[in-house]
Amino acid sequence: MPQYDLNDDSVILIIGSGAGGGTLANELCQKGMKVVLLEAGARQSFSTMQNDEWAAFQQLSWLDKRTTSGSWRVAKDFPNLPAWICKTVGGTTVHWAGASLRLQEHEFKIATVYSGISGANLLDWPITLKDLEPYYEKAESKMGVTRTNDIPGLPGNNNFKVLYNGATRIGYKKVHTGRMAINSRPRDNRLSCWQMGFCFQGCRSGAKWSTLYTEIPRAEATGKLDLRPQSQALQVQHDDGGKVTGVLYADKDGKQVVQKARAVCVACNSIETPRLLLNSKSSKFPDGLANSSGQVGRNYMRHTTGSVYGVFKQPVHMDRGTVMAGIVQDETELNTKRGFAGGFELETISLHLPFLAAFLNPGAWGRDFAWAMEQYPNMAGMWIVGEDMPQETNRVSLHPTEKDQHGMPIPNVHYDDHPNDVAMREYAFKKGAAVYEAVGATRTVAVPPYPSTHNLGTCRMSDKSGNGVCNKWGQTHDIKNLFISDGSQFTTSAAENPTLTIVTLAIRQADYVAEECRKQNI
Amino acid sequence: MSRQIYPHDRLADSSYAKVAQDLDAEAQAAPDVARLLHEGLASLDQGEKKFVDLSPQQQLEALKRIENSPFFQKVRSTEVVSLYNSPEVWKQFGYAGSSYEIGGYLKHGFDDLKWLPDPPESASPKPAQSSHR
Repeated sequence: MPQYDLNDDSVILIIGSGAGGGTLANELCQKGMKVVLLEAGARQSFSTMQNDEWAAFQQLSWLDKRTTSGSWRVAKDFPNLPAWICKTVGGTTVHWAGASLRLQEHEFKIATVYSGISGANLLDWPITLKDLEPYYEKAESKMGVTRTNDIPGLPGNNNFKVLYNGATRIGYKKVHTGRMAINSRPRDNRLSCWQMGFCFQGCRSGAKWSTLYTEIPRAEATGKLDLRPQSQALQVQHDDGGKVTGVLYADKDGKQVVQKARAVCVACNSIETPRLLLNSKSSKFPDGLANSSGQVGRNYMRHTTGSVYGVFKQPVHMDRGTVMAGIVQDETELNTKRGFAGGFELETISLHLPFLAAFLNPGAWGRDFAWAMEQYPNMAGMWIVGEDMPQETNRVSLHPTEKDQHGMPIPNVHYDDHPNDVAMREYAFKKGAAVYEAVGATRTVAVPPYPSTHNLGTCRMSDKSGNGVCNKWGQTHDIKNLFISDGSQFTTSAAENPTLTIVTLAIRQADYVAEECRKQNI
Repeated sequence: MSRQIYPHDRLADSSYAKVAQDLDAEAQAAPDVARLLHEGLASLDQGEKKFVDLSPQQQLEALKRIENSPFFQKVRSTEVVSLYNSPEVWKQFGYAGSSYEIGGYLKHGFDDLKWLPDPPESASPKPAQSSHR
């Protein structure tokens, strides 16, 4: 692996090795470009991953202190854990469950299409579904998404059997084991799924796609990638003309060094990306980098989410097998007769015993809760993934006083539900309960949102520089050699899990970056 | 106290003792935790009887009175992790833990539920014959 000199300003510097950064790094390396990839976390492997919820949580998660505010339940139940996302080589693609869905056409233009939503900062993406289709195809092939590219769907586990039967009994029609980036047959030099049930803890068979064991090794094989794990970016630096010149980071020994760069691509997920730009403020950019619109950190979205668990008289063992290969798609369409705009998916989800205790009803104790825990083998679970509305006041901002171990202000995540979000969630909870009651659930439990695993929108794409942070290529409006390369780009949250779209945008951004470099525009 | 917070008749005292051990370990490392636990336990013993001599119902009421206190929350939040994260407890709950060692559930019943009909293959295709390359 090359070790580019800190003063080599011909490299493309990418911060974050997840779905966005890891993919972008590989795509650029395949085109022959020199890439430095900074990753705050350490590098794991199949042998260091663990089928153990708490141990894996400690090993993989971003645990640096964060604060929360706003009326969302997460601020009350998990005040220092707004998100369950990763600090590890591969980013959150190590932890994710594999659901890989394309956004729908109308979800790119909700300002045009949705009406009657007040108090929200609706905006259309500056791109359409048609623009992304060739890249969605590449991403689905790259990731091995089931039900695309002649890849069969995964076999359904017991949790799916319960979902399927309940959903079809109440009239749902689009019920299947999903479009999953998990091998149902050996493919791409990776095994097919063993149904271990620890998708969230890192897939030890490699059946689930992750940049850790696909994009990154492929990038390394080109001889162009300089991956630096345990390297935490602190500030993006710029010259007097406003062009980005490099990144100050804390290396694995804690020493602060500057890597120069031709361009910087920020892919730290939607909390750290805006935090980095805000922490990079200077006399020339007193509000932070790329923030002439004031939108850096704003429009934070985490999906209308929540879970429903059903208790049955007979065993389900929902933990046995894939965590999320099961979906009901009937409610994703735009149908305001339900009392809200936007749609949602219902997806199977399972937690193991330790995490169910922590998340089923945070803070609860006593006989009733203990009884619920004793029903564990007879439980089925589903997760609601719905479109939440962008609001300017939902935002990531710098804490006024608290700093991290490197002396940098920590992030605060503020969130209030929009009435549309509440209406959707209440409706979805009722539907979820109805699914389980249709197959004999003796009890259903509606669980409010967990710490967010989908984090979006905080450096959004926009047509004009006044109401967003980056253009249709993820290139920031203000600084042409500074890019946003993760889910922060999303202008809307849509009803779909975001990872496929993040990978898609990264493949497309790589084409643009390479071309702009070739033309000497960057 | 920990038996009252998450009461499972099927669990032996040893499972709850583990919670006390974990709290102890934390107290050894952090003096303010030690103080919190010490003072909290002392406060439970106020009144005519010590906490251990109260009836179960009285114990429950005593805990309900302090359920928003930092002491109670410390014990509860430690216990929710500690109690439900032990293989002995898992056995009692019919939960098997790690499955990597048996090659996952592909050949060990991931889809063995029989009290509902199987979904059609269009919704749930059959598994691959083998997981090897």
